[in-house]
Amino acid sequence: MAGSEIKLSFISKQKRGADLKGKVIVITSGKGGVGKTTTTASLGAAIASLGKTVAVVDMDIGLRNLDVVMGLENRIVYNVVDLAHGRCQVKQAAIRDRRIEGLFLIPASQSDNKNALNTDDMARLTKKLREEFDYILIDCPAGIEQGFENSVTGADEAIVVCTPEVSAVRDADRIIGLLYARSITPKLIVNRIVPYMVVNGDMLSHKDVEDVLSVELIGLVEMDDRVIAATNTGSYIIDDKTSKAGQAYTRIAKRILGDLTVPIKEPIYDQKGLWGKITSKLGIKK
Amino acid sequence: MAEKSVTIKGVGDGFRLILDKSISKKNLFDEVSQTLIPLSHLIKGAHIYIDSESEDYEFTEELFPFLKDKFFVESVKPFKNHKTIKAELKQRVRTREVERGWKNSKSEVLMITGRVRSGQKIDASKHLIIYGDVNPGAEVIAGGDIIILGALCGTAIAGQKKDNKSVIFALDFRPSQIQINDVVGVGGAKKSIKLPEIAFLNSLGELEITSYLDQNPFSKLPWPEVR
Repeated sequence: MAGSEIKLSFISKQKRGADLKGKVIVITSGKGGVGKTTTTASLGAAIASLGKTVAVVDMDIGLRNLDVVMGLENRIVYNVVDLAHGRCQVKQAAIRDRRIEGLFLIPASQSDNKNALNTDDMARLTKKLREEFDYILIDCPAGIEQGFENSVTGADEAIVVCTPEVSAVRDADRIIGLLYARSITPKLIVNRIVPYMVVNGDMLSHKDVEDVLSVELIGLVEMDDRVIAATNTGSYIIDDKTSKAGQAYTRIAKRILGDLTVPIKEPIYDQKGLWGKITSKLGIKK
Repeated sequence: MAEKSVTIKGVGDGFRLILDKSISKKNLFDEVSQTLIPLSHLIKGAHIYIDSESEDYEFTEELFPFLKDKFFVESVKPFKNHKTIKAELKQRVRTREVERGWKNSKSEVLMITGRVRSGQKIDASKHLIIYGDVNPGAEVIAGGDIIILGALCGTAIAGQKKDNKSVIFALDFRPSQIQINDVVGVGGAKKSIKLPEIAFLNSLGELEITSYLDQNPFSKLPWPEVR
């Protein structure tokens, strides 16, 4: 009787251990400047706000940006290269964001380049980070060379960020092919959608992007000028509750956490001009 | 010296009797007898093949009873020269192909399903069939034809190397670039509707693209041929 009880508790402890291990999500795109860093920072903040411990890791070694976008650049002592080479502990390298409980940043180094790390270093690093955090978001640099190779090592899932532009779609397609080759199934965020341009035919619709890339859509983010202001001041767009982009990132975070009832909102073009808005407010119909 | 209007040559298992055009019916028997009498001992029991330049086969029928009675020949048949034999063989072979020829032949085809993404390259030694789309930035190369049962948005290179007869077909034909043998075609303006089109080299060696449903270049072939 007692022996079987001990056996049961041993099994459940192991299972709990496996569940407690963190999930590594790499955020990539191929093309530069489509919003990977902004997405990583915003999703990290949103997931932490929903109660999880999150580490965002900047893998753009030599051209670090995630620290600036999060407003934590003054507090960097150790970086990801130090951590990967064992020169410091996780607690020393991970900068705790005092504004959001559970959010940590592991910054890149500014003086090295992407050859400072290799895939073995990354495999060990992700293993270490899994034990400390619920979610590890890796901000992948642009390109398909060593930086990309390092970032996808040890990743469980991938999010591909793509803007509705022909060149971005071309590069995202390449990246998706490379991710499938590593048995990682990517999900798609279409970023910086400008609804009136889509209606006028000047911009691809998100459906065009989805048709070519043919991967599961996880979110649509509308173009929002306030994102630029937020990244420049080191604040989070999700804190601005009226921002459409911030709302989109919060919905995406919920979906990442497994809540599939959250709908994907399509950015629509509100065609009413000033007079139209007034009449609609007064309840006068045309 | 007057030209002989009847000449005799040995052929195969008998003799070939060459009749000149100038022979009239009246003189036929006289002229033939004149030539054959000195050889009557050889002709006895032989096969005679009539090679008539006037292509009047009546000669054969008339000569048969005459030659049989007078010279005791075994048979009289029309002479089949090299050309006629070849033509008859071709006739026989053609009917065979229409009915069964394709059964014993194989086409070398690489068949692929799925989406070909940007940066990926598919290379087939002969024909290539893809159930799926070819994304812009992708390359599909074949030694023979390329058939895409989907959208072609990338680059398709057919007929490698030195095959002018290869074609490129897609259900939604909007490539960025195509090539058949060494003739390159640049993709045109974007279309709003999805059209099945086929690209091939015409008689002038130029790339031609036609709507497959309206102007199928293969619809003129009368019977099935192995590709």
